[in-house]
Amino acid sequence: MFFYPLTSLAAGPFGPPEPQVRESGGLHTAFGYWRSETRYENGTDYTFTQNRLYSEAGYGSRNWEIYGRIGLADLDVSDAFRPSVAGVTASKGDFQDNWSVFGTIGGKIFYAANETLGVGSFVQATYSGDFNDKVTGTSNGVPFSADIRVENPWDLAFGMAIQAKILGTKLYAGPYFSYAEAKISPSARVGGITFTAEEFKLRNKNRIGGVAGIDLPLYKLFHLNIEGQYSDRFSVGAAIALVY
Amino acid sequence: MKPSFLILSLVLCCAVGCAHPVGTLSGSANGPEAGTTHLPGVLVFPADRFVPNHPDDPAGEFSSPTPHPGRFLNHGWPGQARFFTVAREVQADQAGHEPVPTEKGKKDESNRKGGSAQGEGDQDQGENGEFTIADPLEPFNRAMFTFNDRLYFWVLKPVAQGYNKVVPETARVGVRNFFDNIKFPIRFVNNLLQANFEGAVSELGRFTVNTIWGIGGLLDPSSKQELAIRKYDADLGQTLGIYGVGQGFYIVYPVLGPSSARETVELVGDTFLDPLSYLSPWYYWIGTRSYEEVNAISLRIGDYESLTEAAIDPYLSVRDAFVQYREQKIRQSKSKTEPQKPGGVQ
Repeated sequence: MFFYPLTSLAAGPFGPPEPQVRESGGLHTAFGYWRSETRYENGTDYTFTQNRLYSEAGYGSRNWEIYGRIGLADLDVSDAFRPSVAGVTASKGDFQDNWSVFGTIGGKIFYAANETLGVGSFVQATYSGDFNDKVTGTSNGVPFSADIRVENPWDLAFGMAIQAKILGTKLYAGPYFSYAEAKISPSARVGGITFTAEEFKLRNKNRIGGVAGIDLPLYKLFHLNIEGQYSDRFSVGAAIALVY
Repeated sequence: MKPSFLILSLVLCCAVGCAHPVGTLSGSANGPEAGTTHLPGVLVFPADRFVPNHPDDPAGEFSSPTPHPGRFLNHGWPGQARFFTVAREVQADQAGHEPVPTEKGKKDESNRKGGSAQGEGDQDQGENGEFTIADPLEPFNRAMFTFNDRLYFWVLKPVAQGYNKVVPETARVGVRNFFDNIKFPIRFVNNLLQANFEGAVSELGRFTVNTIWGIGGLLDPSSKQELAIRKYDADLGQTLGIYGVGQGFYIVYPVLGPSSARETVELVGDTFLDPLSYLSPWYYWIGTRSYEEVNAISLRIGDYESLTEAAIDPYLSVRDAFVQYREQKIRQSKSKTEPQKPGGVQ
């Protein structure tokens, strides 16, 4: 089995380092969207694009928080079925699958140096269901059909961020480290197309990235969180949280 | 869905509560005792049964040591807590009305009973403004009342007690919230039919917030003090009443509890709007409804028993309170000036 480098298989948003709870602690829920683009290369560039819709619930106090998310994600791998040799044709170029369930758990701790500045660290793990697609074509005139499965995609990330709170608005930024892995399994081995040639695992190559975001108080108990991450490619998302 | 026989328990709460005249309800100098109030056919009930939920927990989501009636009013099933609600309404309006003397209430009660034996038709309004209902099926209704009572003590209560021991109260409240949230179409459509657009918008807002930020309706953030998105409880029976349809005759269904001709139409109509009704096959629906009922009972075990002990004639008490409650709701909807209630209670 071979490993191909993958930049990152979408760690998902981390949120502000300060827990999203009341002063006395408690619960928060959120509904969000996250779009990520990642790249891997092994002589050929493939771009992994994911869209995620999720619902989140978290519990904590001023200094710590644990949270969980559940949602739906799709996956698009551009040029996954592009033939690399002559004599091979494929019915489609991109790997696409819609709406696989994923789950995330995470935790964070936070230290407020003063009313304005604070620092926190976080850890987060995500696991998705399998993604499936089918490709047909011909290889040296012989027709083929193969089901491709992206199995057990998961990632683990941790990092830290500095936060500045101004008039209730939180600005945060910091580095993170992430490890991501997924297995590509074709039902039939067809040479000339990377995704059908053999079973292999994807791992992220660039494991260091940066995160920045803003958390704005909205109407009453609602907050808007917008976050971006960069590790070779850019990912961005937004969520509206309700603090109980 | 139609009220279950458990409504009997709640109404009987009103009846039995008369045995414990305690409380701080606003009274009248002509009232029997300060801090008490009356419903026709119902003896005095205590104000402390209607303590509102804690201001920081208006929906009663986070448990207090024992369930209290205010929490029942958040249950979405139309009949569940209707009799506590009517008691609240009476309490809220007490300052502007003279109380019903016990002797007069008893006289009207006997008149109603006599009237039903003569087969009167639609509901009638008594001398003191109370609403009455014909009861031509009284022998059948009493038999069903007894059946429902036995069903509660022999089946539902033991099951609910076991469920109560196994499942923590926070989870049971969450289940109640879920079922209440999922019945949004009934309230929304009936608010529209009643031309109560403010209510319809409010219900839509509650459903959106509770579904998205309430983990599918398990939590009820709309009822939080800060958000305070008001609940407008509406059903087809109320809608028909607003359009002038009378109650018809009184009937007690086995399991489903007290009803009337008009409420029977509601039973059918609101079933089409209840998403749970579309569960297939049919036994999934029966099972879900049964679970909902057991969960609801688990949140108020003991009230029915404490009420039946002191009631003189529980059947009459239930019947009268049922009528008053339904008519009170219709009057409030017509005026569209329902008083503010904590916890999104309507």
